[in-house]
Amino acid sequence: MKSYFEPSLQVICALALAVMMSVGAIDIILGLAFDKYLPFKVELSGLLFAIIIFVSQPLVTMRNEHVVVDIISGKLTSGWKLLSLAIAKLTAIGVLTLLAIAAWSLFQSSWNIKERSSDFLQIPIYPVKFMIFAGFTLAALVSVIQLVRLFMKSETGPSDAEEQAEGERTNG
Amino acid sequence: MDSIISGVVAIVALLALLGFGVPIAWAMTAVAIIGMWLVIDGNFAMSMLETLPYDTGVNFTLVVIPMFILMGGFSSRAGIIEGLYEAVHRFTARAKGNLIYATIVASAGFAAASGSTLVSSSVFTRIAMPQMLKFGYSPGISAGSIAASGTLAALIPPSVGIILIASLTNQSVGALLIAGVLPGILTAGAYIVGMRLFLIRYPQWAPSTNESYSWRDKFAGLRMVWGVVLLATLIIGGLYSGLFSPSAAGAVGAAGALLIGLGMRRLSGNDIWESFKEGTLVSGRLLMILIGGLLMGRLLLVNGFTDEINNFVASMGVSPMELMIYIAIMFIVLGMFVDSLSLIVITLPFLFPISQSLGINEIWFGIIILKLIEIAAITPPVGLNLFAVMGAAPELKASEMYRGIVPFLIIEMVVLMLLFAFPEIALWLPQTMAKGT
Repeated sequence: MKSYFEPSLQVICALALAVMMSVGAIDIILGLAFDKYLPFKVELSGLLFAIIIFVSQPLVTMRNEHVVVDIISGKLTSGWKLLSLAIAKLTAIGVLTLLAIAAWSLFQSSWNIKERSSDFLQIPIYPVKFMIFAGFTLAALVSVIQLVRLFMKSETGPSDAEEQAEGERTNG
Repeated sequence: MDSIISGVVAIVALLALLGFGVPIAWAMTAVAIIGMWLVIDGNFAMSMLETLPYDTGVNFTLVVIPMFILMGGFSSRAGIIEGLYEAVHRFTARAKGNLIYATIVASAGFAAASGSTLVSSSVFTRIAMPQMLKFGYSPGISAGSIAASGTLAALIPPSVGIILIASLTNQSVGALLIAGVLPGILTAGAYIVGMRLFLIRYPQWAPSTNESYSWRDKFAGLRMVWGVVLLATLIIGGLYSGLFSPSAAGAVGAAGALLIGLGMRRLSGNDIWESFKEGTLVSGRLLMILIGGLLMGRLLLVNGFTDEINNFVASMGVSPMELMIYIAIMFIVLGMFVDSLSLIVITLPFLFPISQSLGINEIWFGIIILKLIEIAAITPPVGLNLFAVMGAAPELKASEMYRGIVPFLIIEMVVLMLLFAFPEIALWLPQTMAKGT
């Protein structure tokens, strides 16, 4: 499943980024050359940006790329390291679940009124809000899987927990 | 609960979670939500979670972040900057320490084409370090010049740190980006002048390369710098003249770097894919940190901590200069352990309101914070840029690196004092730039 899941999310984010870059650049070229600006630049770029940030969350979580300050956790012994990783994962699960609940409520309100952007393109906004919900939900699920794996690995030996700890320490 | 106590409890809880290795974004969000739940109620906390992440996500001003990251990805993968290094090297070949000067100038150029200090340090360790060692340069000074020059990316636009500061302090992104230009150039100039003086006293640090280039070769070298010059002119010129908003400058810069890379036939399909991937992943993690920082700032505001701490500082009779000195000490110490962007997001929600209550200019404050973070990033034992260089040059001993960075730290202190004494260095360009950015 991972072999489809990861590339699919990456393609969605990369496409959004490519369109955002193209729209911004074309807008400036048209503006400078013909004094005509793309009227939908702001609304489209904003929505694409939201897609990039929130749809990329499962990817960032899967790769353990969220920034960690490892002044203390980096120096812990195996047992404490396992505990610190478990706390980190539980916090991530809690926060992501709350974010997913909030995003679902945001999507529902938007779906009920079939919300569209108020500017030129009148883009439907509820699919973007659903993608935000999906992004947080998938990231929460990824964190749950990581937590389960952490404990399963810890039963096989402390070195596995240390391996996962190494993956966590991106630190910028 | 007393506002100050609840604010301190929130900050201590945040530090405890960070200590346990909880990612900064989740630690700040967790503390902010629990804090709001306790101080006001659950509905308020959940309404914040509904509105703030989405509002931040669709904020057009922040679109500049992935654009600048993308531009940096294209520039570094296409090797756009290597030509600038070679050109400066050719023009200064006869001067003692010319490879150091070439590194400093090329790093400033790289800073104008990318916003990452760590990438800059890694790239120049690969490009400049072998050449410096080949000509008998001191390994420590060579590494020190690369690590220090890497920090120029924090000040010279496009700087992601500047955009984060502007977002957290509700300032004009364009004005703050432009404010970083002169301090960045001043720092690069101070490195060159400072190293020239050091080399008079310690000529053994950087022997002459005894190379010479004809004027024909020198001007041929200039042909290699057009990519950097074009990108820097587009971004800095566009912002300063009011032709572009920061977001537009980012899009033009990213598209420009892509076209230059393709034009130079230095970008493969895989490079482009990797740049897009990097752009989305880095944006994803940065923006969640920003959202966490904004939520934390909101908590400190609604529980009255910000007002109380402002009143407390006012009652202590602390002068603006004293406050800045305390902040300087705090940042240099913390910055040795915590990466720059995280430090900005963790501290600004409570430091910025204090600075404003004492009437400190917001743009100058932002630039001083960035300068301090730059200094911290090259301060032993754990400055992050030092690790970036040591990571890219495994043969380098830590003791050599630490000795080699000292001259640059001395120069940085002089530059910091100049910025304190003459705030106009940071404020002049934003005051004269065209409005509308």
